[in-house]
Amino acid sequence: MLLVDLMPLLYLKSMRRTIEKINIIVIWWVIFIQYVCPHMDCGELEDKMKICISNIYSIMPIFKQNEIEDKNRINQTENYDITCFSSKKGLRRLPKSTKNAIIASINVFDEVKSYDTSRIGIFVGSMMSYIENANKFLEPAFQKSAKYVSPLAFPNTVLNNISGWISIVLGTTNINTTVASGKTTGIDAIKIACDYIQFGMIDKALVVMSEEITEIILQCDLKRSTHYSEGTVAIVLEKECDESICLIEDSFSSNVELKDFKKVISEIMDRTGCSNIIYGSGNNDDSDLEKLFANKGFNKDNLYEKYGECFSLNSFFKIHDFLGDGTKKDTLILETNEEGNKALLHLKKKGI
Amino acid sequence: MDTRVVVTGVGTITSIGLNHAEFWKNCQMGTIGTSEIELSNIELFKGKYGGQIKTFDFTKFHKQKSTHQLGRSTQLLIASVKEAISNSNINNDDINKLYIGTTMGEVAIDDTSRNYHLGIQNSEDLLRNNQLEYILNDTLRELEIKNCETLLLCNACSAGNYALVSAFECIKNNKADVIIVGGVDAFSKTAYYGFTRLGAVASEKCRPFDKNRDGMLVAEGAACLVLESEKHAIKRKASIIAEVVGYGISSDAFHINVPHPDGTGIENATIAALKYANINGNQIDYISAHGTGTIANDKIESKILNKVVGKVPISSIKSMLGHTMGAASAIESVACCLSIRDNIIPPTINYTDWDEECDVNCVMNNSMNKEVKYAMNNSYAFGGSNASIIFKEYEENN
Repeated sequence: MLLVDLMPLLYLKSMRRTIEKINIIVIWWVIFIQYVCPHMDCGELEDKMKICISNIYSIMPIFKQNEIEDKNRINQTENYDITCFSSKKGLRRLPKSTKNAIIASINVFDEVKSYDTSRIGIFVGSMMSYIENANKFLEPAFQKSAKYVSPLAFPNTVLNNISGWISIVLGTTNINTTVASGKTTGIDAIKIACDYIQFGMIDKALVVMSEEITEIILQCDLKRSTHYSEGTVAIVLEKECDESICLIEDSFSSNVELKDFKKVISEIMDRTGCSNIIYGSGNNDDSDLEKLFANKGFNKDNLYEKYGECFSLNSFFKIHDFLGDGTKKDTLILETNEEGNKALLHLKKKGI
Repeated sequence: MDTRVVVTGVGTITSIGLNHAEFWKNCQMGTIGTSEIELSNIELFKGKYGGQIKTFDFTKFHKQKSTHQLGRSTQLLIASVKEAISNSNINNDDINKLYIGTTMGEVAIDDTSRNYHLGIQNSEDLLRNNQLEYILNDTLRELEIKNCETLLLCNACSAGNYALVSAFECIKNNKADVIIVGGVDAFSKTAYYGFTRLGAVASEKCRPFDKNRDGMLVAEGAACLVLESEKHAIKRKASIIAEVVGYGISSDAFHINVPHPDGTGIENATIAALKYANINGNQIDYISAHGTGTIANDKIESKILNKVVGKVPISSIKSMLGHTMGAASAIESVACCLSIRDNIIPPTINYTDWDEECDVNCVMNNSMNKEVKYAMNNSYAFGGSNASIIFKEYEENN
């Protein structure tokens, strides 16, 4: 998709306007080519309103070799000048993951200016970036003395700094929260955001995943992947509407064993007729799940092979790729922690 | 008809008690839990006091199954979840979800970062503990709770309240019957350094609402509450401690670590909570204040509570515990529930001088015997996250 390929070039106001136009074209393209009224499916959301993704904005990494550590291939994003996007004070010295999250939020939620900001919720996921932020904050304590740690950098070490900043920049006054559940962080954040919309606590949710890959983060990744990608993806969720890009037909996340997770997958695939799966969490679950896919004849796409380890972004890059793929009507997006939550989303594009 | 949500069990691990009974007894007596910080590899400043739980020995609470060295936050959480389950007498199979709040997560980064800068090899366990999902995963595995949905909500000092709000709505909307909610944070060197450099740490004592207050004290702790649908609780003949009847949440959208000078976010959360509970401010019998002991927080909180709620008895148990970060609002929720159960309001200790900028009805130094039908728990956090929750004495026929 054009949207995907052009994102890394985003660095100037003029370019931002171009991207916005492309973004709008893509959304209308998706809506325009719809031809089937989506079947109202059941599942966790059966007796509730349908929730849709109505916009997406991604800051994608540039696929290149990085010099941080030779043995690791790291795809990083450009360092964008945040002052091109917001004139709020204090943004320039923020960590990269926070800045990218703010930029993506501004772009995906342009209408925020004209919307009731007390009805918008912010849900953020970031699994590893806090490690870099805390490490930078503590550095003077180990080099000289704790007397020299920066009070300005301290808020960056607190886990909800990204959601707090997005709320400040967008001026939203309802919930702003941060979720951390490893690889399933993205799906878990979507699930809780859907809950808040369905319970009537908010009308729209901005769900943002943002990760930065640095040397200390590589050291802290026990999986020792050889391939990493950083970036930011922001999506807007709301009640099914004309702007819907795709519907969230089903969602599941629980601390279950893999065999039980497979049953959930099979049940949804059998019930809905969906045969597409996007998966790949970079753990042993992947190969085990592949056996299920082979038995059932599902069309599978392992995005871990494309992006490598992206931490909380894993599932959001999958959403990004699915929305940019004009050939797939619906898909199951799977994400697993080898120990812990196993999660899925069943997404169906409006009408393709 | 809406599902009513009740509290059927609590568990706390604090510097003034390693279970909720001990905590509550000391809370009423105004016991000081803060003391001089004792921790390896820490550089102490002028304000060298904190709320460490120095008597916590995990092996006395739980026989660990995992071979991993569990982080301290995980250990504190396991102990408090275990007590809450026991207090509620609920079966593990009945637990649908575990929603926990935290500010700093597992504080392994304090040591990981030090080792990184000093060229010391980090152990696998230390690195593992940096990955926050293990806090809840290890808790479930150690306590043999299966098929449970988990969520770690990171809303800084209001995280426990946000976890409770999310769970409350889930049960109220019939998406779950039993959810364990709570908050946890181990003592964080990062927080101690950060708050000190922000000029927010007290020289010795935490004195909320006092004219001589000079800051907060970094502390640690954990607390959990078993939230349950009334129907489920009655069916299993559970003892109901209190009912959750309302809440208000808001964001200041103003500054990452400074409260809005007009207190608009706090005011919105307070008003929304009263509206949700369908009561007036003068019906509140007790307010568990956020009351950090910092100049700015207590001044703004006092101003808004006077405006919205009036002269209701108010106290801050942070005067005893220090600021337990992500655990604070959960511990204070437990205090509200027990206050309703026993009709006793815990005091704000270390209070000596009235401050005209904090003209609240502060319960000073000694607990107060008073009928408590409604109790409000306030929490305000970094990122401008505010949450107020209202608990009510449970009545079968409401």
